[in-house]
Amino acid sequence: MSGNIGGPPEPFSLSPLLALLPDVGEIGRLESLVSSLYARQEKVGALKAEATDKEAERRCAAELAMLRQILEWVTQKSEGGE
Amino acid sequence: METPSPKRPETSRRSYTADEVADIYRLGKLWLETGQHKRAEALLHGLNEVASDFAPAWLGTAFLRAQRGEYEEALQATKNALRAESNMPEAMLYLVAIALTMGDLSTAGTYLGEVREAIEAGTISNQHIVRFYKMQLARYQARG
Repeated sequence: MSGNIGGPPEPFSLSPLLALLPDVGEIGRLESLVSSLYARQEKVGALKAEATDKEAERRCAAELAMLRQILEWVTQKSEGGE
Repeated sequence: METPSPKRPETSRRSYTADEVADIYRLGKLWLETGQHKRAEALLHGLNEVASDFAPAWLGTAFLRAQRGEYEEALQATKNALRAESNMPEAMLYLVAIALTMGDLSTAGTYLGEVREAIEAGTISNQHIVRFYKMQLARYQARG
């Protein structure tokens, strides 16, 4: 048992399933990807507009939503937010 | 949101290196840890599409689904993680936890056995995994 009575609870005891998720990757590196992510966003946007089947459109939409979240976060971070 | 199957559209997969996929996932994990589930879901769902062979992102999706009580979907996402990485103890334990919740003792027992063997063989050093295994073993034994 942890002797840290006054400190915050350890992550595992709060949410074991969450604590089990692998710790891989470094979010600090995402900022250096901004240009390529914007370029990718444009490309996928074009692919989505040209998509001829629902499946391709769905995949593009999912990737665009992902890119939007990342780019919003990077922007907020550079403005001194999160 | 429909859980995508692990098919890999070639154009998407080549656009992200392994490091980039891992870094994007890490952001998703941060959002899960800070309760920003909507943002995490959008990110992880996108990763599941562009990097369907990246097991941790499937587990992130499984976590979200399980949190919402969508156990069938959580199970499917976990199976996708195992399809991507068949010996991943974290994925096996996710499967155990979800299977136990769904009352599937047979599946739970099978994967508990696999993890136990890995622990006894000394191939698992992560204490979170060991602790989680013990928790699920106790659940399994309580139902037996």
